[in-house]
Amino acid sequence: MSNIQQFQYDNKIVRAFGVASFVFGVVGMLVGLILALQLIYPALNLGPWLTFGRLRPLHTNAVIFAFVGNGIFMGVYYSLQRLLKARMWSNTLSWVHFWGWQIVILCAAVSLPMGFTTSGEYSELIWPIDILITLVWVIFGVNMFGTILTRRENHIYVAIWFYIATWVTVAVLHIVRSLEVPVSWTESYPLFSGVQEALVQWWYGHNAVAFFLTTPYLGMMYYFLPKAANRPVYSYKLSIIHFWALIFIYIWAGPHHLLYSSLPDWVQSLGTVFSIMLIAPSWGGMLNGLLTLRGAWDRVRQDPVLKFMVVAVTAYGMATFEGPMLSIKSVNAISHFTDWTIAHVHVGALGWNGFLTFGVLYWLWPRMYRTTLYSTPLANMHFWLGTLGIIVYAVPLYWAGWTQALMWKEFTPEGTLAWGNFLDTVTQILPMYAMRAVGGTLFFVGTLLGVYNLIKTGQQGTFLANEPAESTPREIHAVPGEYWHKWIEGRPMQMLLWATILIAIGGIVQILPMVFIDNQVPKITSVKPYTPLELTGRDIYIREGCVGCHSQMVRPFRSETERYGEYSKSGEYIYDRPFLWGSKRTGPDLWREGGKYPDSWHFNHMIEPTSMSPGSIMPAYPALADYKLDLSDLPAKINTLRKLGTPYPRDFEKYAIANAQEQAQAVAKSLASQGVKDTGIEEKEIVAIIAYLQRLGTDIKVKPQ
Amino acid sequence: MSNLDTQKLRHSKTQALKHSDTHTLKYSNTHFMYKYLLESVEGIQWFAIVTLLLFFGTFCLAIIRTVLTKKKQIQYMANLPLED
Repeated sequence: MSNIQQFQYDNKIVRAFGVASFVFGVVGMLVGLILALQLIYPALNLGPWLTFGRLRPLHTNAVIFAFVGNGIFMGVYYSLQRLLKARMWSNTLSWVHFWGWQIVILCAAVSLPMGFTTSGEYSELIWPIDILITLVWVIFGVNMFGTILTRRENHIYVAIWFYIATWVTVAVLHIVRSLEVPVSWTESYPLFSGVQEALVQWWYGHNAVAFFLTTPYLGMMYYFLPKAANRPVYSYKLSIIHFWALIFIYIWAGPHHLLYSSLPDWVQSLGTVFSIMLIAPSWGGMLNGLLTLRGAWDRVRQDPVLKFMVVAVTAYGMATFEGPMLSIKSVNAISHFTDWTIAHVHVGALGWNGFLTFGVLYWLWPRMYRTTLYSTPLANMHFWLGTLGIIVYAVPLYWAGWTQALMWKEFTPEGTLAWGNFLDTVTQILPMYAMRAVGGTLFFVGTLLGVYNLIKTGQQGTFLANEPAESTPREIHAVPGEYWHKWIEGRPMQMLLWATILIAIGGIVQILPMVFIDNQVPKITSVKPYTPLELTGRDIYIREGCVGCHSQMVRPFRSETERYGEYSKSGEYIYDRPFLWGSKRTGPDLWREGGKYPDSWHFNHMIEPTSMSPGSIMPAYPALADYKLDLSDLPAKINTLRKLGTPYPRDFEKYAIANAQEQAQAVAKSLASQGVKDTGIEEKEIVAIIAYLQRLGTDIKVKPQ
Repeated sequence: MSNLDTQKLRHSKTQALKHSDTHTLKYSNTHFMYKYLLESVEGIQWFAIVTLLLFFGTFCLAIIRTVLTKKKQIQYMANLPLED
């Protein structure tokens, strides 16, 4: 009797995720392009919703979670079914997953321009959306593991290992990073503060790159590259070692984002060492991908799918070489806070993620529509526009990064800063910013050609929603001598367990000592909690996304202490929830901003930055002088912060509003004495942000007796 | 400097830091302090040692297992994506 089972693969869900990936790719890139143009033409900052500070997180979230996120699900839903010889476990869960994820994206698209943000990079979304993400992620996991457990193929191909590691790690990262105490529906304070939160943030942030932008795409590389080249992966053994080495080492590398910061030295060194070790597995994987094309390089000349994939894997190789280099402290001292980082991440995002997504889409669409690609020349043009776009984007930004870093650090023979005015170092690189926008436009136009090509491909073919397939059921029996082999590959739950343990170790070793050893962050007696008005100003600073361009972390370099003042100490940040160290200085560092300029300077600068700093590219915030200061949630904020350990006096919440109003009056009075005589200014948001800026970094300044 | 002297110095510096009210002074020895604080945590060195062992062990296991896997098995696995 024949034991062959007939079943169907679900192509419809794959198409849905593919379409979503392309649509949000276009949206994410368009927002990126607008941001690039805003840096050259500040007038394009159409406040208050469409300013650089609010749009930047929209761009990063759209590209990471909408474009690449949907791309991951497209690749996983297609390859998982075929590798396991099974339809997705539940059609309902597949569609709940799809629509749930799109709702998350929609919520992000609305909430971020509105200024609802936690300000943690790539974890900006507010807590109700965090919960939704968790639910959708669990549904994805249930559907994936349901499929794995009901599979017909006994063995689990290495691509699926990468998917499993992705699922479990992203779940752990998202939950730990989202530990926050709500104040209202849109506001919350993180469980950790200052240095500890910085560590958790970059443990999360780095591993979002690792386990959202890298491991699932490596899984896709290991499936789609052999498919497109029509030959097995160069070395399957290497792919196994690649997997275990990568997931274990990656999780440790996060602190390289915080070199020369107030993070303890030992954590910084740990991050550096593991980052450098990452070259080995990353390049092992890259070579494995490229060598898969052995004997098929002639086809790369003809097949746009392979072209996209080759450049994607090469970009992966370049980015994973550059990453470890940037983690070396002496290199990081130059690169950090400059556009070098922006160039680096775009080689990864445009090259690795973008091109692999395009390659997979060009391969999938004709197959699912039972036809050939509508136009190969058009796909080739997309390829060349994209490739040139990446180069024209990245090269000027590398140049800009170096230029600016060298200018920041240049001293005159007399020992003073050669470029004491920060703005000089910005105007110098504006031509590079303009070239970057050209590169971005090229890439964007290429993407539009791709959309057109895929739509036409769909129109000329017939979509096969349910692809018939057949296979024998899975044999479950123990073969003597193969026990250990099957122990891991044959049992996905053990695989899940091992992957979890491995990634947990890295996090625990770094984070636990920081959290539980109280003395890790030495207290400074003169550092006091923010006043209610400063707290309100700080939340406005967060709302406007100022952290996107201004750091609050003076590194212990002479060039920085000369420019900004005393370098930052970890104990200064213990009341900072969230921490606002930032990772890019498009504008100057603000940690020692307090007391540098009179209140009226800040007032005029906010209304029109160029009035105080001619040539400034900062967006103008005239609305801050119009918006009424909302102090109503101060009692809730004070209560929440006190629960988290900020030592506000007992019953202080009862007087918080009055206290804030009193300080607002004082700021208004000081403004009036300096010539700003707008009536009712003490009831406007601008006094709060001035109060906050004037407080920054002043706690440890020695006050005149 | 002998071990004893180093310890003494470490001790006296930390004491001075603890009682200091002027934080600028207090922080001139940041690196020193962290080192001391970590050492003061009982068994902290095991964190690093256990981690290294786990790390090394995992690699050895992964490599041994992979090398020992039969060629036929590897070929079968590698060909999985090509069979729809």
